[in-house]
Amino acid sequence: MIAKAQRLFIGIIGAVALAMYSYQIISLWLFRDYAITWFAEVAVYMLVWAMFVGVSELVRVDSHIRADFVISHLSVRTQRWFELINCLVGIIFSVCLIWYGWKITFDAFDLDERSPTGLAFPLWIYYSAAPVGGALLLLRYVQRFWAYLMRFDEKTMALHTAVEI
Amino acid sequence: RAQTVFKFKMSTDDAPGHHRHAVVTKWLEMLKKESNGELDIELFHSAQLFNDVNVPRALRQGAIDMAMPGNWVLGGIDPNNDIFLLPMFFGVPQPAMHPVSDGAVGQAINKQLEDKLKVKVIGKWLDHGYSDTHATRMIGSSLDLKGLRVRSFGGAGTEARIRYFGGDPVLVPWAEVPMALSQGNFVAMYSNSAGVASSKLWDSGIKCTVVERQFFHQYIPVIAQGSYDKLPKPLQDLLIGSWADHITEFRAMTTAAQQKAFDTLAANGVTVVRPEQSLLDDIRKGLMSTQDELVPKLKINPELVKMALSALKQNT
Amino acid sequence: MSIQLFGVVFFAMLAIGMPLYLVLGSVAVFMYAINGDPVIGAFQRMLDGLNSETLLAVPFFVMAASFMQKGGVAKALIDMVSLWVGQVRGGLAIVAVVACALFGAICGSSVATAVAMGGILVPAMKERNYPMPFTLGVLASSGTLGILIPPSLAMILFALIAEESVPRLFLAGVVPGLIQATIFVAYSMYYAHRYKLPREPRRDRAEAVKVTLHALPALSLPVVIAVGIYGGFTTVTEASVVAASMALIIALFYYKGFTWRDCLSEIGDSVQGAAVITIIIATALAFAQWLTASGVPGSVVRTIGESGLQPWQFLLIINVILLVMGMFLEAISIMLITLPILVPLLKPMGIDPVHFAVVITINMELALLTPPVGLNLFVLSNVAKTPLSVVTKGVLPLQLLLFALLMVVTYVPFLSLWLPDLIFGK
Ligand code: NA
Ligand code: NA
Repeated sequence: MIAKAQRLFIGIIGAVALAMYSYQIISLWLFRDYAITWFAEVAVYMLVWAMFVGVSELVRVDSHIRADFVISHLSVRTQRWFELINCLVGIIFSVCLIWYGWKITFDAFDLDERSPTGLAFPLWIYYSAAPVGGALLLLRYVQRFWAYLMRFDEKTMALHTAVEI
Repeated sequence: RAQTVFKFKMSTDDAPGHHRHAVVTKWLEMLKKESNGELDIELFHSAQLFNDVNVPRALRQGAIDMAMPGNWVLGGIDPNNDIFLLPMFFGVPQPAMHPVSDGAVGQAINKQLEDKLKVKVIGKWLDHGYSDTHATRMIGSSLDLKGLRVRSFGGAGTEARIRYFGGDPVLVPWAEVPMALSQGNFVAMYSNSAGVASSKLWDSGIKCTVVERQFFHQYIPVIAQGSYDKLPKPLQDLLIGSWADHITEFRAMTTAAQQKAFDTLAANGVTVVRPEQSLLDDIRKGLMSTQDELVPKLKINPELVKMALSALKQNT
Repeated sequence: MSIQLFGVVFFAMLAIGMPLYLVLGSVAVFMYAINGDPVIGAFQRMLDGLNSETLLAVPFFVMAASFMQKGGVAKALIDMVSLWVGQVRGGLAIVAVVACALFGAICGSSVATAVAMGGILVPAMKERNYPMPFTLGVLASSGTLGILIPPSLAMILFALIAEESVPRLFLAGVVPGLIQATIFVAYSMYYAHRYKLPREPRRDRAEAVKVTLHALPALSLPVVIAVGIYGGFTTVTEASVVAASMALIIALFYYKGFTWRDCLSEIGDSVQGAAVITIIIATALAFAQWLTASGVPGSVVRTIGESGLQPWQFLLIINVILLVMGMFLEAISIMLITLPILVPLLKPMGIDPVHFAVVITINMELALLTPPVGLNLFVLSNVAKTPLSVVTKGVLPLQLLLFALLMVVTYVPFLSLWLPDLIFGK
């Protein structure tokens, strides 16, 4: 459910960002009077948002890049214990991302901090990608930790470095 | 009694050849010597730790102890910093600018920054110098920009200025200027002449520099309030006092660097045009017609504008 | 914590297969906390680092590559290319090198070049049964041409810190870049002979014309990008957007490789694929910031500067240090850490900064290829859905060749300086 919604969200954001940025480029060449110059700036914020959301999905489908020069020589059962450690570190990192991301977002909101451009975009909207991304990341790491602890299956749960995404 | 050493970190974002770097290194050495090594401030330059744009938050969060951000990057924190983009400052000579930033206007802006960022402003602002007009073809003044693409460093104030002269603003980050310039993405740009000289932009096509003092820029020396409070009173006094004692000398250093930049530009085949003050005054009079509309657009406090106007008048 | 202990922990985390972004991110957070620096600074750095238009070229180039690959554009290109150079043994490998060099002349990033070319050529070479390590090795290492052949993001960064002229630096990379491409082509030909790689079947004239015409819309893409960038119409990021849009339109309406319905999921895949890279860049920036503030790299480099070395010894030691740093850090981080300290040493040493920029850039190319942290390795592993060790194995011989080139360029400044001096004068 969440994965589907996330995927749709990322797809739509990516498509809209592409469309907006393309419009800006074309309009600057062809019909300058109708150009909207802040499209590019907003496209940056949108895609960073989408990518933060995407980071958690990459945990679920096990597609984060890892150095496999050691683990590729180990049994899946040994990998299991390493992955449990990895998930714990991931859980701590996600909690930090939520907490500090929230503080940064609140700071920017409190200061009414704006981007130094003509648009003067409220930066808390951009920063809030971090706590939201962190919350999704926490969910996926907790699920993964649980699966490796309680429902471990040697046949299907070997570590990957990059599966189909 | 063992000597306590206060190890602070200071962040700037330009390279060792830059005039702010020269001032800061000199000052930090002075502080270390005069405090018998108790005040040991390490400088992280070239944005090794932070860009100036990100330095205000770093100060507020306590990630850095000291910094000297340019006031043109602080508009996002307090829009009043953008007051120096207003038409009333066009073409104003340097001595007439100091009463504004050293006086009531500067005080009001300092107060805002101190409250919002939890910092202490150490003293008078250090001059960076003017943004002048640089072009890849010969021009006499900004009046010749009609119909040309002009690079903007961002902000509604800059874009309004370019549009007033009939130019077409294109936003290009400094990092991409040399490439965009050599490809002809724009014809003219407002920029600090020292920056243009140190980046050797004549290699990328700059042929003409008009010294018309578009915008005046200064750096604001600040220390995080938390770090300042850690210091014993004598060191606090030393920090504030030594800046106050030497600011005239430091300003002379950056002004000299600005002058030297014009010589460097000329030596490398760039034509340096110096318009008469009367022409600049005329241009400013024309520009002033847009100021009232620009003040609310830039979200600048109208009271501050009044104060600035009177500070300018007193001096002329 | 001592630097040795830190090294052990860092290696241990990598060894147990912790995702790289998590290694860099958690080490940064941990070290901030230990040093008593506010941890929030690490996360602030990540967020500020991502807020960059230049970085945006990554997702858009990934999109373009994905549209070209899955939309039938790549197939048309490969068909035509194999028609023209397929008669040579291992023709596609040579095409891979040349295509990377050409794309490098369009795009300033190694990672983007590796993504764009790898996305198209890996499936094609796989289909023709090229050995996987060789395929990935050729693409990963040729992808690094993206920062040596102008335009180059690495050179722009160098110019900013050293206050050098960008066009001069750009030109300095041209000759070494062409030499690198030539060496790689030669290696591919040797390898093809030794391991009897396939030739493409001969085709009759009518079919040749048909295949070539069919590829024209696909071929127009790099042309439009090149004209956009060198004609002064677009920035690199804008060019990446144009590439993505054009690839999408061509794939939808001309090659009909996929439908409107597939669009959204295709774009979603691309953004998510780009997230793999960008999250590593973000955490690498926070990691580098801690490393810089710790003063360790600074004092190491400073000691060298103060020890009264000859220029050739200095260059050799710098190369070794950069190689070691290149194993663990991402290229931009290395430059941010070392250049502010190295650049002031150049003039007293009598080393031309323009020459030094090329030396640094080739070092960064190597950094992108050395395990355990090499972005180009990761990119290719991701593109091919293959373990990292396969890429690492295939890259090794080309890496040695690149290292030899580094030595030649280091001690023959003429190779770098000839072209810029010719155009701009001494
Ligand atoms: Na390139
Ligand atoms: Na590496």
